[in-house]
Amino acid sequence: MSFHLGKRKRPAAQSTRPTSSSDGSDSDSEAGSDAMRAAFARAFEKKFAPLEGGVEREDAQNGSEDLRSDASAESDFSGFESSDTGDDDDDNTQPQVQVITHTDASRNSAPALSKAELKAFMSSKVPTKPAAAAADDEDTPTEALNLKNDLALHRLISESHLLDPSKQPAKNQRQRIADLRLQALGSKSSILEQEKMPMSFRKGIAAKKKQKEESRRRDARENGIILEKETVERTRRERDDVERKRERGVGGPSIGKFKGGTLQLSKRDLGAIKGPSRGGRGGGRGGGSGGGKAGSRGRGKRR
Amino acid sequence: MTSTIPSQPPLRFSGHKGLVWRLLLATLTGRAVRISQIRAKSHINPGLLPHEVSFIRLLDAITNGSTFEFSYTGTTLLYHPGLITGSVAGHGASGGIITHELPAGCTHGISYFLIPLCLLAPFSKSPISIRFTGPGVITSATPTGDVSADTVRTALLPLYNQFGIMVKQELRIDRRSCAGPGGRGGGGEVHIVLGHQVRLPRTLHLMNPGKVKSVRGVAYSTGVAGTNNYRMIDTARSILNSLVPDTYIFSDTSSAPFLPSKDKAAPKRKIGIGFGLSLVAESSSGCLYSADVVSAPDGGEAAEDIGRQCALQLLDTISKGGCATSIAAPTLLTMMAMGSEDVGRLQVSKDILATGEIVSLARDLTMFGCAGWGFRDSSAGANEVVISIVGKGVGNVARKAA
Repeated sequence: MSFHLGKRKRPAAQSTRPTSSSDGSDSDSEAGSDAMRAAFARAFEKKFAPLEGGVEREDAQNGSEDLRSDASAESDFSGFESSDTGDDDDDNTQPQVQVITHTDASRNSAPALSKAELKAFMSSKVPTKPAAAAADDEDTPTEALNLKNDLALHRLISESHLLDPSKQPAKNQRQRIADLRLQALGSKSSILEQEKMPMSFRKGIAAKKKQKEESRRRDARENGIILEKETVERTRRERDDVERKRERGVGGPSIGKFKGGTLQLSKRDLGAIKGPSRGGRGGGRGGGSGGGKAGSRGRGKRR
Repeated sequence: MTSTIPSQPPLRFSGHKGLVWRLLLATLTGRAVRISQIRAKSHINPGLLPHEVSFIRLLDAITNGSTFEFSYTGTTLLYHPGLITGSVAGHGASGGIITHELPAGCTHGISYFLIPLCLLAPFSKSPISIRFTGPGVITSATPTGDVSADTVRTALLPLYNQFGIMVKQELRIDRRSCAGPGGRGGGGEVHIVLGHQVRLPRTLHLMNPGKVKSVRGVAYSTGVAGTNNYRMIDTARSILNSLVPDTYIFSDTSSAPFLPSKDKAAPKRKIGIGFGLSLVAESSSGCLYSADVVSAPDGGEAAEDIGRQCALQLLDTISKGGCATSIAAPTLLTMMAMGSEDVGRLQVSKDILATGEIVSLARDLTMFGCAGWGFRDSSAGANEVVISIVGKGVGNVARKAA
């Protein structure tokens, strides 16, 4: 015997109780009591949690099922309990939840085709995939392998000096290799070169470089070794000046411009003739607009 | 044909079966053939039928120096092949295009002409560009067993990729048409361009069928409502989608071609009304399986039935296995036999190998001097055989000197 608390059983038992007690009495009183019960239930539900089986109570009032359950209850009436035979019956009457999903395999998964692929299939051309082109390259695997090996060998030769542990510190080897490759590709500056630093550092570096070079040259001179010609590193200003000081024609005036039978002197030329030593103006410092005057001053000094 | 080479006696064949393939092999190998007993037993129409005559005219158009001799009854044909020149101006081509007209009585689909043409094209001297027009062009599949022009484009032309023939291939269906009343005639228009000529096709090793990864297809309807397409597509997809999610079938609706008729009351009438479906499954290793079903010329078939039949036919083709379908196998085997003198291998299903078409192809190839085929059981399964074919090294005669 099993204790069964099915949903269906409880309303049946509840509905049978009044009938069994009143034994076919007038239905009005029963309906009234039920209405009252429902009102109580509603009031209870308003205050507390919803009651179980509250809805079925109304359902169980009418319908053939009700009659059938009445009969079964009368045959073996035992409140919430039910006999073994009634149990099976009860299981059958339990509503089986049938799940129906409306999904169709033919509709749900339209493949996401790229527009190019769609076009490729319906065009008059032979439909080929982009992969076909890749396969095309693969059909000469030896060629590709040869190219790869060539590149590897070339790199090994050009970068093997970096691998020598006696010469280079091993720590930034990778960066050095990257630097070499970048320079081979046409990079103007090295990635290892520090771009920004305090001026004192830069000066120090330059001085050290200069000192090294001087000592090297001195040693070479003392030992009678002839070195390459010294390249003079000029600042940008100096470089510009060198370019500007070009050869004039022979027989021309040393100053000014000879034009239309007259020697024409510009203000700058006059300034050059007069010279900078005019009063205590500190070399013309503080005079009007700086740019032009500074230029003339520079020229004057040189001449 | 007056050739400087001491000509060998023509090979003798009899019967109309495999006529096209024999003429094709004769053209490729350069051997003369004599085909006798062409429907000699038939009292009504002995000799060649319109589509066969059309094919002979096509051969004549793209070759130079070919001669055909017919007997009085038309039951015997002697063919001396010439050089495959392609669409050269001055040999029937205008603007680089040969226009080939098919007669109204043609019962075969356009693929009957296209498939041999595709085989000839790689060995041609210059590109082949032919426009098929006339009242006999049926672009759809036919009840006589020809596949549709769509299948030729999507399932047969890609096969040539594996032989190194991949560029400048185009098959444009300018006007669609199903088979006309009684399965005769159409009214379609097809333009094929085969512009990739090779010295020798690559040796093929196709041993791995792979797994089917995608299904594509074209549903076509001419002169009937486009809903037929969607009904076919829906039914086919309801079967295929659960097996291959990557299924996509295109729809092509067109009006039926107007053709002038002898009927005085209706001087022009629509012809080639119907609908059909062409499906192509592609495997992960690039093998293609195709299926083609078309509505009967008399009608009376539901679009759903066509869709279902086609999907099932595709599944049947796939279930046979192998790397080549019965449609593709003759093309692949012939190309392999014409390839370089090297052993090519192709894995096919026994179901496909044991058909009369393939067996007669093998016999014909031996007749034309190709080496016999070698067979061995495949490791893939009991139903699969690996065919080894030594190429004849025929190649492109026009490109030999170059």
